[in-house]
Amino acid sequence: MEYILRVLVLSCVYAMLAVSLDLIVGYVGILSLAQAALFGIGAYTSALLAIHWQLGFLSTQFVSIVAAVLVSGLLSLAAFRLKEDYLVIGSFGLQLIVYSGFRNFVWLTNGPDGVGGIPRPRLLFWTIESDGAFFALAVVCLAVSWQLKNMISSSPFGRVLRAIREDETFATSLGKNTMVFKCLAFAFSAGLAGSAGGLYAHYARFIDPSSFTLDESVLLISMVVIGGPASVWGPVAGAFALVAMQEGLRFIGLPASTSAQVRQLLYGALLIVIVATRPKGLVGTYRFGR
Amino acid sequence: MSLQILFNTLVASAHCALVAVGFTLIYRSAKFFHFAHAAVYTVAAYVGYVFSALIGLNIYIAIIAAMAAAACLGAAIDLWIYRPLRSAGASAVGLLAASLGVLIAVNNAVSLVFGDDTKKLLPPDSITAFEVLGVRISSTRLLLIILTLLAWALVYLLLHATRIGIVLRAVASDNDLAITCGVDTKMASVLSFVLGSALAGLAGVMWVATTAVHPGAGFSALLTGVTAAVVGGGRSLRGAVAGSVFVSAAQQVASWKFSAEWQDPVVFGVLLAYLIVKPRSAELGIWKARAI
Repeated sequence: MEYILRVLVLSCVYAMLAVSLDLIVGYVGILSLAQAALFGIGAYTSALLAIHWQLGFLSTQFVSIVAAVLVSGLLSLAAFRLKEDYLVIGSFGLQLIVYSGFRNFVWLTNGPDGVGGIPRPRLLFWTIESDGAFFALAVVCLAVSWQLKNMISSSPFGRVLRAIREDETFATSLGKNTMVFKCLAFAFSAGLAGSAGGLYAHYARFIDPSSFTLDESVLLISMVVIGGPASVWGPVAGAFALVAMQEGLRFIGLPASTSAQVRQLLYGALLIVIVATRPKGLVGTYRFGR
Repeated sequence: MSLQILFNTLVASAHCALVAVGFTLIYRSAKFFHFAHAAVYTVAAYVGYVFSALIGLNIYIAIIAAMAAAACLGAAIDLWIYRPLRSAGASAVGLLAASLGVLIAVNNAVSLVFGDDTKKLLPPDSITAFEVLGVRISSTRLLLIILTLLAWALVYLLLHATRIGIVLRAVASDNDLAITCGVDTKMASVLSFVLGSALAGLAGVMWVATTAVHPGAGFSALLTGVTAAVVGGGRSLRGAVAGSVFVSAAQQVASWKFSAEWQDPVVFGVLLAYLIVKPRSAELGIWKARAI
């Protein structure tokens, strides 16, 4: 039971991240390789605030979101000057800088050894101790992110994002300042990723840079693309499917030393197969990358 | 001390330029970022390791085998993965996603077969080294520089003195116009993959010969290579070389002034700063060029 709850909570965290990334991948139509970095910013911010200043869950969430949005501002700065292709390279650079920051600012992040002893989240007067209660909290967080993302994507704002994806020049010709829309989309996406990071830090209670690598960013892209970009349920389905696949591999008796490699090999292969044969993803409607 | 840094910069920029030039060559004809370039590099490094350290063949044979394997892998990725995707109508973003998939799959396949520990091609005591003006020069590093210069001369000749070069430059400068003039762009794409991948293969096998590799080595090489290519303008091969020298110098100075951990952050800092402050009017970077 404990194991099932653990898998479910992790699925919720990944689903939040996939939902946040979908705003960029599905609606703006750009691959961002920096989502794991923003996730990490949220996680480290929450962890450090909860340890050193004993802040409650709502305040750490707030600060995590603000921190992730500020860091994503760097990407927005690059977006002012770059076309889609180079924006991917920009996000790639951001991911690696933030990751090296986690490793090298030892006085703050304790470097590769990670930050431990993160307290359980405290909601007003109630500290969430049991795994069941934490799962409930994760579901609520996922539901809020999911609902926010759907509200954004079905609003006039989301419509402009889709227009930018289809034809940026045309959207500009209709008087839309596409830069502002893109930057806002980055900011929303980063905020959701930061919130997921805060949740993860409180759940794992120990974080180190290895959870926020470029591989993790690619994994998140796989989740979105495999699930179905720019759809209501796609990113959630992708996240649950890939986490389930990862846990399923445990049961077919692979030795622990090779299971990580086999898992990643499968993600990679699945990503190619989906882009080649089913660009809509598992449950999506928009044909990604066509 | 400072002469040693100069030599180290030369070695690092030779290695970096091989990756960056190959990457630019492929980018200019395929028109998307081929991240699986890193996978080609890693495979070549391990092929060199198998031929030289495991089978025990001469290092020159290992280098040729590694370059051939890299060229074949590059061509195979283009023919069997990118081309079907393209004919199914995939855009640059779709191809980029697929190349990330290839990268992850191949890197992990390599790590499944060989393990995650670092591999060396030659035992350290078999590498001869000599000192000139207080600079320690090992034979493999010297070989890396010589082979890079040789490869660069060959690529330059190929691009500017042969029919293949005309085709590649035509596709790089204007794909549609090249099609109109009857250029076989699919052939040009395979050619650029073969050429670019062979260069990456040379970089990979020479890196395993001078230091050591692990399955993630290709990726770190690609990071600096991409940064060099982007800082150099992302269009011309000369730009890629100039970018490589600049990035490698920044790296060496960073590890001399601070410590080795700061090498990578400096590279990505340069990349991000360049992308943010890049003058909008100048489409190219520090080097202007029409085709490649």
